[in-house]
Amino acid sequence: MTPLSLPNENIKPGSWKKVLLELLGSLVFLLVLNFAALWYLGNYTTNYGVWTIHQKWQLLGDLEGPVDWLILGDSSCNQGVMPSIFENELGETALNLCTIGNLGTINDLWMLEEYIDRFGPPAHVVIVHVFDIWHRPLDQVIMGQVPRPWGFWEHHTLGSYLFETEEVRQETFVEKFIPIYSQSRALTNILRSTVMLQHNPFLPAWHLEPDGFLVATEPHPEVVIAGAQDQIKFAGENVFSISPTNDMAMQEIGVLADSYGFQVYLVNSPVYQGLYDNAAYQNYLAGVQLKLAEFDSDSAYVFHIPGVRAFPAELMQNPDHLILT
Amino acid sequence: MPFNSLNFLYFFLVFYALYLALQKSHRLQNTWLLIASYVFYAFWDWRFLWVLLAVTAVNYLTGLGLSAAGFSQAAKPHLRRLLLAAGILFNLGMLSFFKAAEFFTPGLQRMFEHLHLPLDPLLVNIILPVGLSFYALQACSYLWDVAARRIQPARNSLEFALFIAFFPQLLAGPIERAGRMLPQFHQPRRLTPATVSAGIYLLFSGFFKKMVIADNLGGIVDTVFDSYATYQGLDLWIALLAFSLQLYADFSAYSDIARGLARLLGFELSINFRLPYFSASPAEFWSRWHISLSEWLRDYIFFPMRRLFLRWKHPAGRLAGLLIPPLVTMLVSGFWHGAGWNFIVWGLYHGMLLVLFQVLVRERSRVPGKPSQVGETPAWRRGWSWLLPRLGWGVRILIMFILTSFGWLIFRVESREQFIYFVTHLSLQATAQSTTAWSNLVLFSLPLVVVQIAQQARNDLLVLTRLPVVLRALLYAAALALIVVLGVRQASEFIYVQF
Repeated sequence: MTPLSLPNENIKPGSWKKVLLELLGSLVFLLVLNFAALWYLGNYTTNYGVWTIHQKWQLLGDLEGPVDWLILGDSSCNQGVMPSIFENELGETALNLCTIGNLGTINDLWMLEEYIDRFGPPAHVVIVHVFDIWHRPLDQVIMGQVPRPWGFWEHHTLGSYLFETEEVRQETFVEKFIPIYSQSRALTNILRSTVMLQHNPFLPAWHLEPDGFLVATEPHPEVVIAGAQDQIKFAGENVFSISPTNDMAMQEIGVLADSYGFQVYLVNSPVYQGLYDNAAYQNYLAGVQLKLAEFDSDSAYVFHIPGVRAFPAELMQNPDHLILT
Repeated sequence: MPFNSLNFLYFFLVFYALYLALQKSHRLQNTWLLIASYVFYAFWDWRFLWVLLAVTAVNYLTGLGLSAAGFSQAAKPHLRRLLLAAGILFNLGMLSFFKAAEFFTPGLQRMFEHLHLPLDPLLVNIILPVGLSFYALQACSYLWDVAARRIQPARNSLEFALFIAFFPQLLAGPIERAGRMLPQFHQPRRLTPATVSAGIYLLFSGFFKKMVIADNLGGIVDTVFDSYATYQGLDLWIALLAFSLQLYADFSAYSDIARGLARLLGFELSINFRLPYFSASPAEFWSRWHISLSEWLRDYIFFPMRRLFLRWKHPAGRLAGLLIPPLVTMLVSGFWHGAGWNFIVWGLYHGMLLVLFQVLVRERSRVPGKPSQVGETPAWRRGWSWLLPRLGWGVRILIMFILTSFGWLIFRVESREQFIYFVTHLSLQATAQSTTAWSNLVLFSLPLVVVQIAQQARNDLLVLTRLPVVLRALLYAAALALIVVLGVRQASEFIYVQF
């Protein structure tokens, strides 16, 4: 009663040359697959942070001439500050190079330095960060995602200090050159959704305007409210203290502003009204404002804009990310 | 030191370099292999090295004793029987002691707690020595085969020690026979490109099945089984299906790696799996699943018992010969798997499936070319005889897969309540979690399903090695890349190593 015959192992004759070819060939193909993944993820990853870092640094690299306003900061600014408004209201050009919060102000400093190297100082710089970014220490390994040659940090202020240990450099190497390991979660998600025909793997998940503004249209009020609760908890349990890397980077930005004579505006991110009204948030924010005001007073060219714009949940995707209306 | 750990990789590379360097003398290779096997075992739990050594020594000496009592001119059948019984009793006694300790300790602990009596901590902490379930059976088969004069006893103690402790298959089989392994240890190794290439394929296959398929499916299974009361409907089906595939991928991965390593060392181990989920009947399932154990049970329990009943001329003997051997064999199989009621019930369940199948097939096979005996055939049997040929093979395979999966549910549950919950809450109703669980199941099991269909269609387990060398290299590269991308990074234990 055997419907299908029992399969066996039929060993095929071979040669040592073929065995060697098999092993070496598989290593070569593995390298090819790894670098194919590197190219693919730079353009189509579903990891928002990685995608944003690639796109924004690419935008800076592709920039052909100077702009009047350089907008730097985190993802709240990425979809919250429209360069077109500068053009419409002031008749001046602007470029949004905001990336993600985890890169901190080191990324702002390094983008600014690259810009200055190529085009000289900009007229104005706007730096926008969420209140809970300033305390975060930098995980420098993520700089491996910046699409610049290996060791690019050596040409930037604080780079040698941040990458002085062999361990950090090794981890950054893996982050940068072995995406099948470092980006395995994103690759798994892409494979899963592709196998289930839920996703076109060659369609970017987000849309970026040529001026760097990220268009977000779908509100997520439930995420906004849940996120606000987390932030209230965070603000209630912590006293503000700026991280050393953010502090050092901001001081360096101040030095650059003073030496080249361009204006830097420090701006708070937009925020959900329910969070803004909370006492714990206000208490924590007061600490942030004090520190930002310190940067203002330390430099003749750094200006702190203390005002915070608050919005209803229906206009946001999370407590500090606006949608385009 | 599981196969899927970096420690094993380092261990094997160091071991293999010296092993190849000793190629001129297979005796030196054997010595090195035995040292490595004991080191490998000691890495798991050095405290149980004495069990391995004791099993080796006792069986080696018993084998020599059996030979002296049975092969000499003045054969002493009584002494031979006594020696055989003593040897078997030692092996099975050792195995039963540890299994029973696992089985009864929780109950004993509860009883002592209830009576407010102290229980010796030594008794509470008895655990099964890793691999004992496998090498004890190997040792038993050796003694039986020597006693039955199917093989000559091992004269070389080193070769016999290797037969018991050969590290690629020490922990989870395949359960080998002395008649197959001892001659291989006795002769010089012959590494050919064909067998090395097939070994490399098995290693890729094994690591892929373990790290990508089994461990990821294990995530789905554990999530649902650990908090089953929060799941229902389709989610339970998905977990059950995932467990069926996880168990197969996990265990066959171990066998693949063991066989692949053995081939790199110049040895040939038995095939342990032949695409079991393509089975259309319970008997066929056991000829495809954990074949080395199935054959062991068949040769040393099922056949002897069946012969015993067939010798009995009473009409009840025929019926008993039909019912009792499969039930007892599968009951033993259940007990062998573990110290828990679920394994016993699982064994009985499979025993009953075998009996049911035997009854149905016997009736059907009597029909062609024989005078009609319809009058004495019950209607349900006539119905089955009519239905069976009309069912496509696909349907039969599907029915068998569902029956097997139901058996795995018994195998996997940790309590009666859990089993009842599963049975009463299985349905096709999707929940919010179903889509994610289903897409994970599809993603991780798709490669397994596709390759198995190709293997069955070409009737060749090494069908992928027939690809041109460039495609084979590409396939291995893809497998490696997927192991890196999808593989579970924390080395997890193989399921059957726990048995």
